[in-house]
Amino acid sequence: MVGFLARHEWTLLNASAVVRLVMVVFAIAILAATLLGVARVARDRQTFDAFTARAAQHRAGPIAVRADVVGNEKGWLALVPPAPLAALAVGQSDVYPSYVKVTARNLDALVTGDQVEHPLAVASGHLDVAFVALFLYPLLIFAVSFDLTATERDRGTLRMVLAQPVRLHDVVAGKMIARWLLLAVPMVALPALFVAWSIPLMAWTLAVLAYGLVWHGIALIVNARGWAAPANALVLAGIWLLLAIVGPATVNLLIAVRYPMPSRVEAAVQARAATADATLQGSRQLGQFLQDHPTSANVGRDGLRQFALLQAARDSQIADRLEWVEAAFDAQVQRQRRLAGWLSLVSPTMVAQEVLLEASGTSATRFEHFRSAAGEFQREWQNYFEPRILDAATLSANEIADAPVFAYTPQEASIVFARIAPALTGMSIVGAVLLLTGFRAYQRYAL
Amino acid sequence: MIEAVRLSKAFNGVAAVDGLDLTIKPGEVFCLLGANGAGKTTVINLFLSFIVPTSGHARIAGLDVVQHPVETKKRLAYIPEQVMLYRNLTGIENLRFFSRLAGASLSDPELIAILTEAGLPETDARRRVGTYSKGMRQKVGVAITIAKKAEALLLDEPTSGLDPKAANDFSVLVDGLASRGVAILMATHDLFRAKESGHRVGIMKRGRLMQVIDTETLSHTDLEQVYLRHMHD
Repeated sequence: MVGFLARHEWTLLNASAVVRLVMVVFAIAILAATLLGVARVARDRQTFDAFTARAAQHRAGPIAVRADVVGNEKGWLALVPPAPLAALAVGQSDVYPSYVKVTARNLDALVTGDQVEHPLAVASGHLDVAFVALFLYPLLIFAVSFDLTATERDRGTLRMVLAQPVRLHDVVAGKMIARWLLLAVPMVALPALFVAWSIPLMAWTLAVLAYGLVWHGIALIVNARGWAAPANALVLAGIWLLLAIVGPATVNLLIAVRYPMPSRVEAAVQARAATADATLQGSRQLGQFLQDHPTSANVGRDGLRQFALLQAARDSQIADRLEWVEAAFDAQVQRQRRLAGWLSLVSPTMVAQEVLLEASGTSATRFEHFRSAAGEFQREWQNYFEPRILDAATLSANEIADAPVFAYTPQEASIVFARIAPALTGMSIVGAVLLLTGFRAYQRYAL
Repeated sequence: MIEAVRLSKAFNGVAAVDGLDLTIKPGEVFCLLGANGAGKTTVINLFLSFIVPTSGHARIAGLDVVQHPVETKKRLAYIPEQVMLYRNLTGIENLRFFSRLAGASLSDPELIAILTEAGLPETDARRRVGTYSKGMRQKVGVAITIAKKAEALLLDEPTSGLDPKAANDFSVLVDGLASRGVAILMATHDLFRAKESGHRVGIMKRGRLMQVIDTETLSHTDLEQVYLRHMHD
């Protein structure tokens, strides 16, 4: 009976010109967001491939190159490839760089990782599927659900229906199923047409469905109150505004007040100041060295070693200062994230956002994992090149070919899944509880 | 058969229906007369199990409507003052939906035949209900009753707002249903229609059934006098 009622409701929804228009707009939004994402990932992939090819060329470059040229000046550009579902969510990828330059001295500082965007993208932000799922999807759930039974009750149609051998619960369930299918199918199916099937996509799909259940549950509870359709619409619009817009904004404000973040500009200024101080100090020593060795002819191998040692001392000093700046920045980010983890529970949008970004591979954790891997690689690189640099060695082709190579190994899908499982389970439970509460509240629905 | 046994319903301690005893046999039309607020619609709502009685029993075909709401509604049809159907669907589509809810899967020719029998020609049956007059929607209501082969029919002010011809057409349809053996309870203000269509008339006041009259025994004028006397008491 519920299936029959759902099919009937589907017919009614499709007979409505307004619903048809809403669905067309929804489908266009999903497709536009997906195709923009696919184009963005293709561009990122092209960049990744180009840099990877360039790195290979460098390794096959001319023989007999000084170690400090290879180890420090050229260094190695560690790149993270686009995540499997990067087309679905920009996430933190426009904040964290997808590359970092590794030298025998250090990793590039956080302030050098900016990626260039054209002005319109900077001004308007990105349209991605995550945005459609997080904001437009719940809004449309409310748009098609604010009048589940109110108008039918007020017009008397519901009495006609309930005069037949059918329960109100079945009628409401049919209406809910039809609306759920109407929106959930395009929301999960359209983007899936453009990305390969994978465990992350399964997690993404489950997250979108669980997130949708939460909003359907809220709509059901509001409808069960028995208010007129305009009142339902007003209340639901207020709830959407509160949970999807005001809630996250308030949480962000609270976090910013509790753990104010040093600005990137400030971090850049500090980093430059540290570099300048250390450079000045090092330059004095190097200047003294050059005074003592006025021509390169009388430097000799020992002189070059001494010169390299002085440079290394200066670089180490700069690295220490930069490390401190970065550590302070990272520590504050971690504090913010811990607080955000708790406060985000007030908004399903924030919880879902975390899950969707984790599933898509554009969350901060993936970039941190990449940076951590790049850090390990830097130590390998340093261990390989530092002795040779300090020895003022000239590298042979074989030595260059034997140098460490960075290739990003993504985290196991099971690890990512385990990270999002609690939030995914939580959303599903909350959605189920809201739906059950709504159905229970419908027991008191007055005709 | 429609049966009420000491049926009572109170809202916030105020009796809307007070100890109603009533039996309507198959083929009989029983008209409930009464002023606004007399409790007529509450009686119908009790039989439809839209509300639960405070005490007593409402039965359809011997089944208690509270204990067997689905079973009783299979045997029951309901035509309110305004038969509100799905405006975006045609008459046929509406009848298909409601008859299917009642458990009857009918083909299009069968649906059209039933609508025609209820007085709605096929050309009208294929139009969207949003274009229908009140009388045409009432005919779809009758068609639903026929399609589900209802044993009992509840009518709530069915001729209110209909022009005399449409009201007469509707009465003819009701008579036809009664002749098929359907037990009919009709709540109405319309004394003339009650006298014409009803085998018996009950006068309700403040939730109580004050008097039951066999329509054969009274003229229109006498019925009006009896009704007014109760209203003025």
